[in-house]
Formats: sequence, C-alpha cells, structure tokens
Amino acid sequence: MKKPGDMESLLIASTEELQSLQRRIGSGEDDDPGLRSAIAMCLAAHSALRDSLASTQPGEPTEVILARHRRRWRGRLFQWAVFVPLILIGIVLLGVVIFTLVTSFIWRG
Amino acid sequence: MTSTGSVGTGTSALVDNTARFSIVERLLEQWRDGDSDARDQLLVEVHPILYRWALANAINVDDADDIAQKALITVYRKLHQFRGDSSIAAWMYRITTRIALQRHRKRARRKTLDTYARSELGGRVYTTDPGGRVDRDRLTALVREFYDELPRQQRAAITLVDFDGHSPAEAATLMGLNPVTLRANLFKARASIRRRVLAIDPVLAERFANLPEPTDDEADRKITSGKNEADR
Repeated sequence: MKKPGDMESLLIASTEELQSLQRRIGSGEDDDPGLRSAIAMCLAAHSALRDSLASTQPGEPTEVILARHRRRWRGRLFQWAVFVPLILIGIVLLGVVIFTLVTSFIWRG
Repeated sequence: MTSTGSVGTGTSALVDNTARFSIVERLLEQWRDGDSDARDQLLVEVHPILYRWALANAINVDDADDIAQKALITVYRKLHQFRGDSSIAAWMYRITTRIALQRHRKRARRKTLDTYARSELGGRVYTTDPGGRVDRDRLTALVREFYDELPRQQRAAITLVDFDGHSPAEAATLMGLNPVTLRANLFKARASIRRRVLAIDPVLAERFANLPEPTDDEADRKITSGKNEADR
C-alpha cells in the first residue's frame, strides 16, 4: 500500500529504502505507475552516478606519483649534499683570496 | 607491486571502504614492524579513496587529480606521525579536505575564474529526446553534472554515504560535522539530484515539482527515530 509520506521520501530516501518502496508499491493493490517510474528513474540515476564515479580514476598510477616524488627528493638531497657545500667552499676560498690580496697590498704599502 | 586485495563493489556503495581500511590498517602495522614495501602497498590502496574524496571537494577532475596527488604525498611523508588518536580514514580525510581548502583559498586570493565547461546537457536532452526517455549515457552525463554542481559539503556527504558505503554516523565523524548537519547535507544532495533527474521527464516533473525541500528538522527527526541509517 502507498503511504502518505512515500512521495516525500522519494527525494531523500536511501537506495535500499527506495528499493523496498518500489517493491511495496509494485505488489500492492494501490499501484501508482507514476511513483513507480519516478523511483525507477531515481535508482537508475543513482547507479549511473555510482558507475560514473567508479570509472573516474586518478590520472596517474600511484607508483608513478611516488617515483616522481622520490626522484624530486633525491634531486633536492643531491643539491643540498653536493652543490650547497661546494658553493660554501667557493665563497670561503674567495674570501681567503680577497683577504690575502688585500693584506699583501697593505703589507707592501 | 601488487595490491594486497581487491575490494568488491557492493550493491549501492562504490567500494566497501570498511574492508579497504582494514587492509590499510594491516599494512600500516606491517610497515611499523619494518616492512618497507607495506607503505607503498598502503598508498596504492588509499589512492582511489583519496581521489574520490578529492573529487567531492574539487571544482573539476584536474583539480581533483592535483588534490589527490598532494594528499597522497602528504600521507607518504607524514605516515610516521600518525599516532592512531583517530581512525586512519579520518586522518586521511582531514589531509585531503585541508589541501582542497588551501587550493580554494589560493584560487579565491588570485581571483581567477575556473571555468568548468558546462555542456548544457539538460537542454540537449529535451531537444533530442522530447519523449523524456533518457538513455543511459546521457543520464550518466546529466547526473554527473548535477553531482558536480552540488555545494562542497553536500557532495562530500553523498559521496561518503551513498558511494563509499560509510554510515551517516561514520561520515559525520570523518567530516567533523554533527550527525544532524551531515544528514541535512545528505538529504539536500539527494533531493537536489533527484529533483533535477525527475525534471527530465515532463510528466514526472509536473507531478513531483511541488515536493517540499528537505529541512534540518527532517534530518533531526530521522536521527531520533528508531529506524535510523546512522545505526547501520
């Protein structure tokens, strides 16, 4: 039998509730083809959306993303372990050279 | 690398997240016990979930991809910081939504308009199919458009409950909302999509056009009544 709240619950019911409503309406004497087709349409929409979301997969596989991240980190690590110390040594050496030149000019003077 | 287990598709849920997260928790234990491959397997398991959560919080598919990638890397880097105070699902959901919100804020600051190409599918359905019977592909495209147009919280609520298989109570915990607000968002999302779906068919549209919008009171009533999805 169709109940007074069936029309309202059509909009907010879960799929399980919709399916049980569909069964109840289909089997009762008070069959309502309009409500039945509305329920069928809501269920079809739900399953279409579910399939659509399921088919939307991440653009790249997890392994590729992780491999890229690790490569970047190795690059940064290499940068900090090799280039930064080299630059620091270069700056220190440059300082020493400038200091030596300046002091040698001063001593000569 | 192989996944430790594939999780089946339920009748209404996209995947059984409970089963997937029990695998994730087992992999986390293995990783903590010194199995370094377990972390990669864990990330393979959670990536699709992060992506779906990202979709629920993004403006389009590309945005979702970026959010999911950042969330994945954050999980990879911070997994050792996870102490187990909350569930690992809640921890990962917070990471994903935080990244999504940061992107929204950045976008708002730059004041750039992201134009998500809307294809006016609804109009096309009427012109090509005046009888109102919509084939599966067009219905899918339409419903997906309706879903994408939902407000962020409504999209997240319907994704977690209707497609990820979480109970409303679990979804409320994940989203950090109280159950009444979660239910209100869920009902509004369902009603919004279904109202627009019914509007495709002129006969149904006429009959169901005047149904009232779901209210917060309705969500409250459902929660306090005995027959309650939150108790599932």
